Amino acid sequence: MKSRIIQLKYRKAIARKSVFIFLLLIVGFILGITGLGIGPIKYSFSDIVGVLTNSFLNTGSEVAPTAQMVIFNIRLPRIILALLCGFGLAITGMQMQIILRNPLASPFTLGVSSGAAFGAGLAIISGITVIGGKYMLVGNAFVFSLLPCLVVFFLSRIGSCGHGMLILAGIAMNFIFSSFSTLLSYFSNSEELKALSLWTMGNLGRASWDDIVSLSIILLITVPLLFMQNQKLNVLNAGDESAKGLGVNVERTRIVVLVLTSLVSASIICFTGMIGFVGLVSPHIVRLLIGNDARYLMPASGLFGAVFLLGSDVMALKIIEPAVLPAGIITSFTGCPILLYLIIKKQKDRVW
Amino acid sequence: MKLRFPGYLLVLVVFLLTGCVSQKADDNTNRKTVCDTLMDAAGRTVCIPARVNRVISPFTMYTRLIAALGGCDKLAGISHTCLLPEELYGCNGVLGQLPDIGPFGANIELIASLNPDLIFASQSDIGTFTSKTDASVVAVSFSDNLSMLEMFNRQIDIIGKALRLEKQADSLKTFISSVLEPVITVTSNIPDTARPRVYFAWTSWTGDILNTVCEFDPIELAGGINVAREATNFSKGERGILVSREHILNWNPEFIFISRYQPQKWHQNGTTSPIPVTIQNVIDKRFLQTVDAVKNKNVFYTTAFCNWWPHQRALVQILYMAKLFHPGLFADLDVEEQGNKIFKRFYGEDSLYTTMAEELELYRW
Repeated sequence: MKSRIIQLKYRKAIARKSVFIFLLLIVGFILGITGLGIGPIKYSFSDIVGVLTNSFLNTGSEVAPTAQMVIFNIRLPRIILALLCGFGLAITGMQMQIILRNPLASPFTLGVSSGAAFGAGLAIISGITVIGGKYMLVGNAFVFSLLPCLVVFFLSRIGSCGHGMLILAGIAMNFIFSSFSTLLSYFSNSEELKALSLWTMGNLGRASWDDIVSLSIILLITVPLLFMQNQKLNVLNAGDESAKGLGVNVERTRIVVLVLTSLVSASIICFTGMIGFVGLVSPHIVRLLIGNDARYLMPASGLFGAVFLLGSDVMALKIIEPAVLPAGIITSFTGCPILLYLIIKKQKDRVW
Repeated sequence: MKLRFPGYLLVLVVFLLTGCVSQKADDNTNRKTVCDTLMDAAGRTVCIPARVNRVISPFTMYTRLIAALGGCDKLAGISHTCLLPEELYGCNGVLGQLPDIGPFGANIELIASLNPDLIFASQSDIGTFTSKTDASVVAVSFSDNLSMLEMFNRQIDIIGKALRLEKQADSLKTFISSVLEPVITVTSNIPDTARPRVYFAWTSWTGDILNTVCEFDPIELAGGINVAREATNFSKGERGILVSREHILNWNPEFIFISRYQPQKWHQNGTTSPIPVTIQNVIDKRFLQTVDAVKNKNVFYTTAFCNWWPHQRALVQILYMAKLFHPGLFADLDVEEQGNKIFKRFYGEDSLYTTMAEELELYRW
């Protein structure tokens, strides 16, 4: 009888988590459709449907070239990029928080963002680039965002791979690359400084189908591999010693997760610039709502991050039109109060 | 007996302090007691020393005007930030040789060691310079929302008065007015309906053209309409805003200008600066194919801010844009000739504008 009650409770909890994930999917879809209709140029619902069917189903219907350009090549890539980036940042944040056993961990803990900012600054201010052409900034940001991670991994191979040591090494790399960026800023002029600060604020306005294809390939490879780590992460939640006792190779799992999350966050950041708080806040909010089971926490965090970033981007477009606020500013403004509210309301749950 | 030694020591200390203070007072007397006063940009009445021989200019926008007024021999230190290629010719080539006091005068120790008697400053730096040096500190930048030309004139007045070069200041203002008046008189009468819509792409370093400026005076003075001016409530002057690609499509500008402030092959630290967005990039951008400026290939480079407006470039820019916007009205205007005249007035060298126009790939008729 008792086991049946437990079983029922478990099923109920699973159902609640599944409903939450399903709701996030619906909200994301509705927000995406709404986003297609928002912009300085007004289009009717039939215009939007016409462009989409024409683009995807090649119906050959008559569509104004401007409508085709705006809906299919500007709004849709922006929406899809927001969803992909939000999803990627949130799942990497969630896995980093578990693997490093630190609620402050985010995709940027190992210095990804400061490395990327330095790479971008190097291109903008000094003209030193890894690749030329239109991917000059993207290339620099990607390569330099991985540099601090490589140093941290190298350090972790020398000593024991404890989470405390990894965080400290990440903080050190963050400071080193931030200092390099500050040095570059010091020697920059106002135009270069403005360009660098705009880049670091994060912006989805440059979204293109090429970016989406590149990012999708990386996510398609890395996300399933990250999903495969969820069982081990659940065991790791009980502590390193317990995980070892249950047969988990803690150090190996930690390295695998860190490599994959660094790769995902570096790929996102090089296309969008730094979009903060999505990776930090989304997993916490979701954890407070559905608990700590990584198997559900990961997709839910990802979907929440996607919805959160898309919603923030729509707000960023409208709030002081025609000026566009960088989406990173809105994510910080809206995400933190939500998190604070949930922390106060659910204080007794003490998920950390 | 016990009290005699401390008493003697106290007298000695007082004597030494008095000596030091009087020595310092003498320095100040030399510098400040015999002085003219002027009202600076911060509304302060500043005492200008009888002799001004060692001037510090922490902003290149002030250095440009000091050079144009013939005050180079008074400069003791300048900021090399935003010292443009043509400015290296200024003052017979000495500007590049002057001690670099760091961006916006950050090296306060060097400034103090140069023993200046006058420092031109922004309003926010007055306190620092006043407390760390003995020099008179004159604020030159106005915080009011002045137009570009009003700001030029007020800066010229203050710097001229502070350096006791009032006649040269009047002469420079007359020169600027004589160059601009024939154009502005015509463009100010052009109704909005006959003005082209213009988009200014600022800081194209990030590879796109989504950063723009809401107040770009040369566009309006040249008889155009800055399409981003509707966002003036959110951004003044050179601060800039981000816009979406859709906004550019919606505005459908007839002209697009891409900012350039230095040639690709020239960089202050000797490296090559990449220029991610070129005219061809803009013309090739898929999302811009329905925009009039791209359809008619009205995409041009222009000079822009570097440490606020480079005065000489801003003046030529007005003529340059006026001729591009209204070729019929300004058929006889020789932008290159006028440009060289303006640059010569500032830096005393021939053909400087021609060199700049070639290097920045500005449109040439």
